[in-house]
Amino acid sequence: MEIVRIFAARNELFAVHYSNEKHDELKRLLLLWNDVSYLNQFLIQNKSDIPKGKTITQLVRQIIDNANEIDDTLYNLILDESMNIDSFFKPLNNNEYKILELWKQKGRNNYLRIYALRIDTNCYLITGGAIKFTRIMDDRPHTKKELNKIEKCRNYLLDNNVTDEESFLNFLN
Amino acid sequence: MTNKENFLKLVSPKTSSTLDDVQWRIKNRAMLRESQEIAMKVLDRLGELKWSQKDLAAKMEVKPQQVNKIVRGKENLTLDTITKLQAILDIPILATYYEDRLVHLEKTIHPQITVIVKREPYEGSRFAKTIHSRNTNIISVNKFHTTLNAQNYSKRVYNGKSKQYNKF
Repeated sequence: MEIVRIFAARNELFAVHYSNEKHDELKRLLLLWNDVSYLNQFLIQNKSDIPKGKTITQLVRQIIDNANEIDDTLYNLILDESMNIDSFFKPLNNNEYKILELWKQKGRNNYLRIYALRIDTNCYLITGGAIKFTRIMDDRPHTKKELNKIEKCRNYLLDNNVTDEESFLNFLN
Repeated sequence: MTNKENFLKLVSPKTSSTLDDVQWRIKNRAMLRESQEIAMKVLDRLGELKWSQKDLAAKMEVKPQQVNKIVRGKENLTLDTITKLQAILDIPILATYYEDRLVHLEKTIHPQITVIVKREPYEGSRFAKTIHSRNTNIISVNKFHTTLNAQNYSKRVYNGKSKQYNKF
């Protein structure tokens, strides 16, 4: 496992590059979400989860549009250094509202999810992502796999002393 | 040492090339959109015909990897490739597809109608044409909707949105 920077000059966004993958997670996800053949295949395999009234072609177009919006967000972050990346991420668990140690987060755009760990204010490590149609991540193998990945990354950071006393105190309180 | 400082010690000196991809995709978005639409048409048609990508590659006389690139929707396709796809799969991609169909319509279905295809500027569409019948009634044609109105004769010929093509 390797951790790479997304922005060369800004310590704000990072992604995990797993040893069994060709690319880091953010690059890999955006390539997949712009790949018509992959999306078509994914939607055929998950046909039973497709929202009612939507066709595969409509969803392919929609997912690509949503991926384009993520591209735009990243591009705006390049252009405007004062822009805050915190606004893109929300807690993975909707019921969590207190800042937690290495807090699990999700960036969301319609059916697309980018999963990350919050290292500090405006500092995130992307661990993976998915196209999510079901409510619970445990419900489908591809989203369950993402839960395992984020947990594995969190343990890796904890094993390497990435802990924050202040966050930890918040956690205890 | 803070949490972030401990974290930064684990970060590789390498920077991801994600942002290069992002900038390239934004710069080429219009081209990619067309390429993606063609990829969707090709995949739909392959499904209808029950052809594999290998079958298409054989008919196009290209390597299967080339077809794989086409259906991913990331290729800046050449006119040569598009023309082959259109002819082999019989799917509308280029404006000429409709022009050929209109000439066919004139010859086979409604010989009393004289079809004069004229290119006209048409905002928001790739092409537009006007067809005049002998009775001077105008039959207008564009990418999305075609209706013939000659005396009492009225027929919807093509509705691009529903992807239903009535062969004349």
